[in-house]
Amino acid sequence: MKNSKMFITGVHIFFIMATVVFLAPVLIVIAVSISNENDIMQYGFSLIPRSIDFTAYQIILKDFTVIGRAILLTASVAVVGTILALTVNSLLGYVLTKPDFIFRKPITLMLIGSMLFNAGLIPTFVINTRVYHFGNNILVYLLPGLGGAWAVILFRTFFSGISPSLMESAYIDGANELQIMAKIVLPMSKAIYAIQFFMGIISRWNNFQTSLLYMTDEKLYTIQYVLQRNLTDAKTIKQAYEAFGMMADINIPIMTMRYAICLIGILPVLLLFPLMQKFFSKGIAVGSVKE
Amino acid sequence: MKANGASPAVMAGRRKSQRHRNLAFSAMAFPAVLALILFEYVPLSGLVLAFKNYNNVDGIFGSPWNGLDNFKFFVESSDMAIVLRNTIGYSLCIMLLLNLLGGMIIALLLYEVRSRFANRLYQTAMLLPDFLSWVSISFIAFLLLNPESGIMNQLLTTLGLRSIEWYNEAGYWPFIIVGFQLWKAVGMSGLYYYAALLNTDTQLFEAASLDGAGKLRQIWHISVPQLLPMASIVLITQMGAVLSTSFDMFYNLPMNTGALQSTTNVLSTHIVRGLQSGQIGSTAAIGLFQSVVGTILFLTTNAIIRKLSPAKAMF
Repeated sequence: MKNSKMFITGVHIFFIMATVVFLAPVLIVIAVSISNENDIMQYGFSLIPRSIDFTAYQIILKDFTVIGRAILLTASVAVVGTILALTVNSLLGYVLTKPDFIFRKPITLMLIGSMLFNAGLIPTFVINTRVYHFGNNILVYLLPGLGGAWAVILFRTFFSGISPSLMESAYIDGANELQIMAKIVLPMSKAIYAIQFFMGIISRWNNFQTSLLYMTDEKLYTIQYVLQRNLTDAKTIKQAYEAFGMMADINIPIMTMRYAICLIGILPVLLLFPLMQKFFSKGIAVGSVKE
Repeated sequence: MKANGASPAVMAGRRKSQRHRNLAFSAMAFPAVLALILFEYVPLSGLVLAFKNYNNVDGIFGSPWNGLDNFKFFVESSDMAIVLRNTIGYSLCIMLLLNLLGGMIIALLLYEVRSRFANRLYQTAMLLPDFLSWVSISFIAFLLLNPESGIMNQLLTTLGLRSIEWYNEAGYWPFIIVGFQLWKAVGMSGLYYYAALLNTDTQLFEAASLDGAGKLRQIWHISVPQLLPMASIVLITQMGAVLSTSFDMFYNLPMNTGALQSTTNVLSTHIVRGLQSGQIGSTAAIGLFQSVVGTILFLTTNAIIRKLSPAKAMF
């Protein structure tokens, strides 16, 4: 008994330390973004700012076009792309639960095939740019990720847990398949839709590679690409603001601005995250159901 | 066939409308299938690039064939050995520490936390980093590793040690990369195992503790076996992805620094850098190799597991 109490205490100590390790870096990002640039140059980064200074945010908000445009673009493609993918994948997942659907086998084979083997980055890139003309084209953010085999199978697994007699009786009452889906399946599958929606939004919001590969037009950069350019190349920040001739005379607080921009990039995740917590256990339990 | 549990009269009516039903089903399946064909299957035709001397004017199918020349370059290139070593080394290390051990340990420990509040809190904290992009995480790494103002060098100088030029010394990066990968994803990995643990029959623990089994023995004999089906699925999928390391991490975390490439360049970054310098043919060849090896490893691992324990294989 005594041993097991000590064990539990040990577990709590482990997790409390882990919690600090997991959360502290995000808190330091916030702290640095509201620090004074000179303090950082002199004393280095720290969790508690020596003095609070919002200069970074003032400068960013003064000329918000580049970042604001990237945020607007990324948020729009995230929402539109996720809703499209959810619709398309759940429709397929739904019909794959029907034993009398004649194309069930071939489509399932197609899904498995796409999971087993993929063309790889170069053939995909060349086909996407040469055949579909996705270079500098906003459609590249929306279309290529649409038919996701894992998502379809996840939906199918979840839907096959719904009692078929419910759908059957609605069918006999004259409802068509779309109505059955909207009125019976959807309300019973909120958890899986919610988790897939959330995951879809986050992965699109965090997408970096697509802009790197497909975009040369600055207006089409997503937020992560803009962030990355700000981190790896301090000149990007300076140039962007000096170009407008407004800040050339004062010192630009590059470090604090970087982290202010970084925080703007993380913010949607921080806001959405707590809302989604309650769906996690359910959604992930589905993910672990064996095929 | 439970799904057909309708009365005979209904069945007769249904046969008539069977064609309508299948038409409706096909219409519903159509968008996803079309996307699958256009964006998963059509790009397979681009694999011919691996056997061509690609140029922009002649395009994909017009460019001249060059046999296996693209693959020759790939065997002869001196970078390739290092890139492969990095890719496989990181993959196996991350699979073991993150996807298998790390996730299982987190799940087993979390299962012992009975307080709902504490359990929630720990889960939330551990999941948060997984939703941050690798770009944001590279900002965080820069907070720690920046040579002038970084927190690591602050610590080192306080301890009286010399500070380190982190972004110049490749030797430290295997630890940095594995460390950040663990920090980002161990919570999610743990949660998958945790979901599997929740199905455990709690009476087993009561019986074991009546028999005098201590906490650790209970975990070893009751909880761990509960995790093995999940672990084998993880093993199969991760083996299939041994050559497909995350591009975002290996590109962003070292901030695409040339000095660090000896320990941070992997196949995924090597391919993108090749594409950026216009080497379509040889990078397509590397990609083909990557896909083929991935499929073989996936199927082999699955076959081995099916032999050892049929219930734990994926198919």
